[in-house]
Amino acid sequence: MRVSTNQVYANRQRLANSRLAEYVEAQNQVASGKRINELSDDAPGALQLLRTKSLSRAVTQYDANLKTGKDYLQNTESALTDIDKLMDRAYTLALAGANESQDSESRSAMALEVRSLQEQFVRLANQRGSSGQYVFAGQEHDAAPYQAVAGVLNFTGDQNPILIEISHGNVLRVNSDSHATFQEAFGALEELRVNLESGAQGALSGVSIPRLQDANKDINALRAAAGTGINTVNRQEDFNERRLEDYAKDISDIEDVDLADAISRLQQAEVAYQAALQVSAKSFQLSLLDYM
Amino acid sequence: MSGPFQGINSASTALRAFQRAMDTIGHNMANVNTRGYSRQTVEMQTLDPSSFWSYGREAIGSGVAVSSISRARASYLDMRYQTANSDLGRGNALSTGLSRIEQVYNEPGDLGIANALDQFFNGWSGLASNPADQAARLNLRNAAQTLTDRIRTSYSDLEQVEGTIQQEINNAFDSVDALSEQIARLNDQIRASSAMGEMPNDLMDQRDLAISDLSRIVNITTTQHGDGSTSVYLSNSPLVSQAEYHPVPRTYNAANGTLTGGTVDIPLRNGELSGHFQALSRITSARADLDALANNLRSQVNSVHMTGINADGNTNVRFFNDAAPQTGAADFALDPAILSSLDAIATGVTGAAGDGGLALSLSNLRETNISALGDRTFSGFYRDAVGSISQDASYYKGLTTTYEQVALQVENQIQSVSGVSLDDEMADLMRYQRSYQAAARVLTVLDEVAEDLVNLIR
Repeated sequence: MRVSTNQVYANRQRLANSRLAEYVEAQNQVASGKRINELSDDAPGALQLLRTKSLSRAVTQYDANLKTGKDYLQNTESALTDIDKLMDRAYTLALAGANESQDSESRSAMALEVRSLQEQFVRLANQRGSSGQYVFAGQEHDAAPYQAVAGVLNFTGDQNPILIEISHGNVLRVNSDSHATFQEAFGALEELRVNLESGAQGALSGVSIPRLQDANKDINALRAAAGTGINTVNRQEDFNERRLEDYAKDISDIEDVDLADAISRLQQAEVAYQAALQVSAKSFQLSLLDYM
Repeated sequence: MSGPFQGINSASTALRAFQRAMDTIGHNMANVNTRGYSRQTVEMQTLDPSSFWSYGREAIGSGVAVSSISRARASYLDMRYQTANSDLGRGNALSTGLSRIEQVYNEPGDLGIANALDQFFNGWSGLASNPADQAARLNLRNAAQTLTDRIRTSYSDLEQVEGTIQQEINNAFDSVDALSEQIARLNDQIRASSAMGEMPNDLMDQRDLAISDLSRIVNITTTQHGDGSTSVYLSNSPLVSQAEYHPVPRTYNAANGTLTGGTVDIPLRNGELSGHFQALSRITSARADLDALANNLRSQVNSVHMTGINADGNTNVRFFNDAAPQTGAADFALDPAILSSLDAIATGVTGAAGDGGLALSLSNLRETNISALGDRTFSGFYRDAVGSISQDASYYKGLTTTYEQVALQVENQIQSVSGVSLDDEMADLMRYQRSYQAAARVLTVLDEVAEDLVNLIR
């Protein structure tokens, strides 16, 4: 084929140019570490990437929700633990009060202690979470739900659930429906106090002790439920962590360049570019003019 | 009639012819870098012999003359190049347009609508889990604002791209008319000089270059006439008929892909102009997609949100601004009430501070298939919308590379036939230089012979 002078120059130029483009592209991939910078770089892969990123973002949010729920449950559990201790103390006082060796003076001292236990009880029943919500109030958790009025524990909250979204379509209840248990336990304390004050030894051993035992059992059940909730949250957190790792791996598989591969391609591109430049330099030197 | 030294005449015709040949070589070398130039070659022919009487009537040669100076050009290659060039023009325009549309969306980073949608639903999920938390409310409102901003910005960016392409379309129309006019004018000049028996090579090069440039913009066919002129047609409708040109109609009918002027419908099948129009229709559909996304977000989110009671105790409060008829993506924003107070956000239907039921329903919209979006989720609909654009962008990127290769091949063949080779020209120059020297030598010898003859008489 006949070759015109312009063809030689244009072809060499084009060759060197396309080698340069490949070189720069390889350089960019190594520098950015990303294989997909625009969707059209790999359209099917990029769609997969968008989908996986979306899933991963949702899990990140569920994880944040779990932290909120855990906070709620932990505040619940720690309040219930304290209430449990307080009820144990009341039970001990009841046992001591029922003992015949006690005189009325020591019983009224015990009654005073029970009064302070009652105050503590109300404080603990009005436990607040880190966002300031009253954890035993149900959904009406913006106001203190429990007030002791004339020896009776009044409840102004509701029994509605506080739900957190832990995965798509799945919710976890993080508050406990505790007002009946609390009111009963408080009633038992009140009765204990009255019996101690009046020195009703028979009522102490016949009524207060078994009533306190029952109340203790119920409080413990609530505490166990909160503990189970915390376990569920922990398990879900582990599960989410694994899922996030899987997603991160998927995203990296699609989006990131294989560095070893990219570097060897960069070297290849560099050699190809040098070769193109050398060919150009050599062929530009050749001209009939040099031999005339 | 032949003089005593016929050879002197012959030699001098040779000197003239060789000089013309060297002049042409000079012209070729001068135009080695001229776009569209076809190398010219000098054809030589013997002059009519003169006769003399010997044993019988004999003929003696009387030298050489330039019979024609022709340009090296293969018109079948020109035709192939026009088609390849139209393909390339369309591919280039469309792939550039699609990649501009693609860039509007800013994917797959974290700055696109995909992330904003996820964060919006995350915001509801977070608020559902902690309705009393002001930070969760703020977080949701920020996410929602980001979402509306991005949808609005993408929409206006698309409008901007549309404006740019519209401008390019206007320029392309201007170019078509300018090139048609130039071709017609050159046709006229070519016709005039052909009529006088001249070979207007350079004018023909200029015209063919204009035709080739025109083929980049629109699909054309050409017909050559005996008088040297060329007519140009766009889908059988004349753009140039010999020395006349016809401005192209500028109304595009996207439904059937025709240019419409008065009663004529001219199908526009290829070239930059067709690529631009195709890109333009992709923008129209991309904008419609964003409108659908914005309007469905409005109706779906608002219809749930309006059933709630917010922290101010109000119900029937919109979350996104809305109007009837709906206004699409262009002015997508939050409802003024939500913008002015975080407490306007409703999380539940009871009004209790801890009721997150409504926020939970809104968070569940993340995975809800919306029938108005073709039974896809919001994210799924958006992904499909950008996905189809990126798939087309990648397809046309590849196709354009192929078109480039094809055009390059034909161009190489054209260059192979028509391009100037300095080596060739130098070789020819040496040949003609030697020939010129030889003819001059003949003159010298004949001069000496004549001198001898004159001396003989003295």
